[in-house]
Amino acid sequence: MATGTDQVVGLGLVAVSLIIFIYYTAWVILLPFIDSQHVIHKYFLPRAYAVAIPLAAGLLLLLFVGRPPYGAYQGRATQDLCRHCSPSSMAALQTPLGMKLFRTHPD
Amino acid sequence: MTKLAQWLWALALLGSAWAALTLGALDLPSSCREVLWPLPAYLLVSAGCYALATVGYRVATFHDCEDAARELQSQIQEARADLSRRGMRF
Repeated sequence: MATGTDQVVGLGLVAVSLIIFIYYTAWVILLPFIDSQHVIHKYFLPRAYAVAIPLAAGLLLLLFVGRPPYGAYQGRATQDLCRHCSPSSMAALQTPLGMKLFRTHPD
Repeated sequence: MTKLAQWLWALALLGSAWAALTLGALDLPSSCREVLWPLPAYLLVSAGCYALATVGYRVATFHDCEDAARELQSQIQEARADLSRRGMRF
């Protein structure tokens, strides 16, 4: 078994995901079958938010997906480059396809 | 057929079934309709919850070997002392 903070963090993640799952399942699946006068509806937002909130959260998470800037490979010393890489061909490396080819370069 | 093609087929089939039912192909009671239309979002959220729970559970039950870790640390210290005695600079 893991020790100390590892266990706390791990079980915390399990608990959080369980809470989210149970609340969301009640919201989307159970609530439509419960009489609209029941008091439980007080604890849930209007139904449109059941799609809007996960959508907004997903878009927010997409903002945290990044990549290194296009000039990332320019700082390499000249002796690192193979004999095939002329200065003019380095200009072509700034494109994403160029970066991919550079990584699979034989020399 | 590639895996990508299989996934796209399944997605297209289920997606068109969902779209047809949401737009009123069959006469469904209103409560069923209310459950149906957020279903794609619901499946995504449950998949995310499952992934989070799996990661958390495996972090919590990871097999730590504290004795082996301590033994390794002391062996590293021993090696460093030995090598610096023979003149290697860290």
